[in-house]
Amino acid sequence: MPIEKLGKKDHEKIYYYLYLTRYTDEVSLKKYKQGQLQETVHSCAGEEAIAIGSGIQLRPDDYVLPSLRSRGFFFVKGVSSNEMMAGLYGKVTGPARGKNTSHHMGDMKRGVAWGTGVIGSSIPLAVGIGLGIQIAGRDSVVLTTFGDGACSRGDFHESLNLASVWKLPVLFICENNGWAVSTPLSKQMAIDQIAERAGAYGMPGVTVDGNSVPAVYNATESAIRRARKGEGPTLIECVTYRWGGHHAKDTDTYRDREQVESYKQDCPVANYRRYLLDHKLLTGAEIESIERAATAEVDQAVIFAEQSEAPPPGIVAGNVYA
Amino acid sequence: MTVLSVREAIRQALREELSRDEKVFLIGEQLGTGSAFKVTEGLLAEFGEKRIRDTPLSESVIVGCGVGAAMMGYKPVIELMFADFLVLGMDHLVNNAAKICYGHDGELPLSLVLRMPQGAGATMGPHHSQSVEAWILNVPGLKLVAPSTAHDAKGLLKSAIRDPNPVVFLEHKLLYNERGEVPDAEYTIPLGKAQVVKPGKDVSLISYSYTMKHLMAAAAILARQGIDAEVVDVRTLRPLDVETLAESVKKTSRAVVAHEAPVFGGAGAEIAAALHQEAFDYLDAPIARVGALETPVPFASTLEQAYLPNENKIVDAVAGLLNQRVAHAVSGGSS
Repeated sequence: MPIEKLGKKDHEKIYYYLYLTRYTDEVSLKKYKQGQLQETVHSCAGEEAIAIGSGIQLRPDDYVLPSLRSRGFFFVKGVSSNEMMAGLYGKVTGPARGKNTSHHMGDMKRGVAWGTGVIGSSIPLAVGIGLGIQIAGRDSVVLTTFGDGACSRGDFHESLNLASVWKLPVLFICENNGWAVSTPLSKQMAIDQIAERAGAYGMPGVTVDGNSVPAVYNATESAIRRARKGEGPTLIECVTYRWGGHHAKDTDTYRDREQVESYKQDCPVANYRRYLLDHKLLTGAEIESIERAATAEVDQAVIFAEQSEAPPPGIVAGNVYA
Repeated sequence: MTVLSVREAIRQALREELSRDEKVFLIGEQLGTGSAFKVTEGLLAEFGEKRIRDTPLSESVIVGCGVGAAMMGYKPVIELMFADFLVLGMDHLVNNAAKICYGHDGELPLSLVLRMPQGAGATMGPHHSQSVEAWILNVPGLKLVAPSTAHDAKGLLKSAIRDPNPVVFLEHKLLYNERGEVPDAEYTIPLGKAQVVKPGKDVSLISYSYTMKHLMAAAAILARQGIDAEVVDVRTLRPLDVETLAESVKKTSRAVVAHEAPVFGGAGAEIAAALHQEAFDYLDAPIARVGALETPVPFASTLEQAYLPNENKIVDAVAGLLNQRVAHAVSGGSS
């Protein structure tokens, strides 16, 4: 059902995950600058509505294969703040006991498929997960996110094509934030909207405001319905803006500071807060209470991570093979 | 026992595993019509298009899709039409398949087989003739198998399909028509075990895949001149059965490692280094390596044959180890 039909508890959950994702991002950037983290933070600030607006609709039997910049998915799929923060710190209590980063972690039992560090290479994996769902005769879906940069990879094109031919239950969600590291959209493609590419493969494509939870939610909702009915994949282009550099080491000197600051006025968290208040879905006090809970969770996760042990070198050679 | 071609033996292995385990399926190009070498011929009619999946011409997503399905607990047997095309799907083999088990700290094993026809000698030119084992030998997380007979092809492929890890299965295109005895009863051959196919005492001849034929021909030439060669089939390149190979070399004190890929950085380099490590005190000479020339695979027959290793080049290598003259085959040339 569309977001307009959701109840109060649903909106509380959405706002909670939205704020949790935003605050985790702020804290991880701060800790990174302090030299506390081992993982190079790929900030998702400004893009949270995409992961939360779409991911909140996933059932336990659905799968998500996140991009390097979709941290919100892990939270909605049940990964704890403790595990996420421990991963950023490179501790043994992080994903895979430190053998993999938090932003590419996988746990198929919770419906999180691991992402590869090669941009765009996760898209074919999502096609394979979709194939697994179809072979099993399930009505589950797999949702995968990737940036505008990934849309220039051969894997993107091969994947959209095959998913269309086989009518696989895959949601291809592009987080179009206008920049592939330092390359702006105008230098990446000769078309205006990435969603145009869907037609080339015979699947529906839609462009939505990626900073609006309701817009992302509703576009995803109809694509999920389509996929569950066996009608095949959809390409959803969510237009947003990258607030930070590509990652925390990126000095981001190639962008105009005034332009960045003006885009930051269109904040997905603030947008949704306003939506909740305007539609009288939550009160200001309820919203603040959610923010306090999310803040406490992240602050506690930092303590957990700081107190956790580093992975013992003795485990380095294990589990290469089953 | 039944005499089968390597092609038939591989097809039988696929058929038996498809019947035994509903999670097994094939994915690749032209599988319905048997593709380039007719290996999968008949399987589509028998198992249907949900188990025998023909794809568009998209090597990268073919391998990546196989990986994704394997993450869901299925057992894809992926075919790339020629091993030369491995590079188009290598990202998904090396960066995903090989690393998923470790990247989940053992919580998600990744079981798939990637089978590919490889090798030269059919005048198919530089892009349909390469041997690719050395390109992937250096990747922890993969297993690598290269059978030389119908018996081994069937037994090893069944084991590869049942293995909970990603296994690359290299079939040599010139072996498909080679016939050999295959047991009628169910059997498998474990991965990671080399085999002494002809015992001997004077020199160890070590190889795998099609080059085994050159080893056997070389052994016959050497036998006529009183040199008793032991012939060893490596069969699995990773994990490598260094124990069996070292046992042979400790007995003979000399070894030639041969393969069809070029010598520099080839699998023979790893085998030789491992044997030097394990059997140095037993060696009367350094391990010799025989392989193809350091060139792309040429097309025309006279060039291709000059490029490839053969029994005479192996005999020459043995002569070098023994520091004596050894004649070639009937034509009478020698080292």
